Amino acid sequence: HHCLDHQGFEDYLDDIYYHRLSIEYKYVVTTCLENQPEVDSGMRGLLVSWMTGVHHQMKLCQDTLFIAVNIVDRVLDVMQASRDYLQLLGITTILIASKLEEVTPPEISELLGCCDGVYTRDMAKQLERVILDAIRFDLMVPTSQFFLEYYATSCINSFQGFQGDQLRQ
Amino acid sequence: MDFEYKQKTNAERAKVEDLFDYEGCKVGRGTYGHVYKGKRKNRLNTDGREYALKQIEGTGISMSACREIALLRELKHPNVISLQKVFLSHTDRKVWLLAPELLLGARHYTKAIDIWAIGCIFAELLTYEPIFHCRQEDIKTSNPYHHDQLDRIFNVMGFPQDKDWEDIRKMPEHGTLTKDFKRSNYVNCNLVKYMEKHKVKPDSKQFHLLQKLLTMDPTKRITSELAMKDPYFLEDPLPSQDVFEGKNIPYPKREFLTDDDDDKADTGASKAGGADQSSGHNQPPAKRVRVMPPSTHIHNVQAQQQLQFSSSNIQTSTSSTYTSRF
Repeated sequence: HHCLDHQGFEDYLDDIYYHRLSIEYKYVVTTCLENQPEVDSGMRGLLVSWMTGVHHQMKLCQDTLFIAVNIVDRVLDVMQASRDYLQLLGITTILIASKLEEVTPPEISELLGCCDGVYTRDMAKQLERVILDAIRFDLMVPTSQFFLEYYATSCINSFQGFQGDQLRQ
Repeated sequence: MDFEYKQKTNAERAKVEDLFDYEGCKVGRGTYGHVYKGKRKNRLNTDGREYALKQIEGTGISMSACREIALLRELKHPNVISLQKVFLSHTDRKVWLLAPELLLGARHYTKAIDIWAIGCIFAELLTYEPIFHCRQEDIKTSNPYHHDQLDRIFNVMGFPQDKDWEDIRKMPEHGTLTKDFKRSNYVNCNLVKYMEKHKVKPDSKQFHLLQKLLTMDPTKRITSELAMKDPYFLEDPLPSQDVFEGKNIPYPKREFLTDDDDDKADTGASKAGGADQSSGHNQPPAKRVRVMPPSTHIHNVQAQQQLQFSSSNIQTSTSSTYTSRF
């Protein structure tokens, strides 16, 4: 399920692509696990697949997940996270990403429901502020989803007629 | 999560009142909150620049605040105000710029939706009043359907005829619409009447353009390409890159608002208390000043960006401010 819709914005796709390409470096994080006493790559992997499940269950846009995972990495890059709060980090980043991408973002209570009632609403709201602070409201993440879609569109557009129509379908 | 991190950032954070003088300098207000004119505190104030401080109150970080700040972080253009610092944030959408199809549950954001919003702003420039202004303190739900806002639109535009907007029947909230609204309540409403009341003649070029921008059916609404070619833009004064180009601007400086003014805030037209301070025979009333930057600072439009957050009062309601250069 995804709702990326470029209809009506085709004229701007190239400009958007070059802009996002030029700022991509700001969003790439490679050292987020280096200073984490409790989180290793396996742990991060578990968190991401759990987030994927939550994301799927709530029928959110594809890009929401990509943005949320990117925020997780950038948060881990600047602060240490304890294992006990990883799921809270997961739902809070989904919450933030949803506010950017979704027509109707999920309620905080729905997200808390995915965590067996371990966390409270206030905890999520507090962490939300800490995260936005940490990533300085840089939320327009150039996601791999975006680039994939752009390249796919370019490829398909290089086919004419029947073949192109078939690919588009 | 990370105590050390929190301590570090708390120490780095400054409060808005530590950095700026703005008390008593309120210059505007809107759905989102209040706007102040601020100056950097003495020892920091090396260039005498003025800043717009937008204060937003609420219990969390709303969808629109999040998007607004994220977008302002990326925007850089001489005609667009630039974001300096964020001290943290909550706001509601400007519902009165929302196109009718959005209020009826449209799922996709289209160019036509932006054209409607441009029409709303154009109308406001012509009449000095938000055309579809509506009380909106209770708009918190994620449901796009908003009865009072639709009522306001129909009160100005009239209820759309089936032939004017055939696909209205396909809108997700069409059922609610037919349940809640009676066409007969709006038979005497139309845009001609509304604009005539505000001294805009129905045979003027601006009215014709406005009518094309504020077309209820999004598929019939004018496109930006066509709008740019509208005869309105061919008559004097011709469009220019800088609306203040070479002009000696007669507008008075913004007056500061008091909290008394705020009580009247949701009646729509704001009344800037007191008389027009720069007297002159040919000058517009103070009310017009609302949309104008102070004349002495229009040359300082381009600016740099920085962000900052305040940590005050995290437990309860979050109050937030962000500043932009005038």
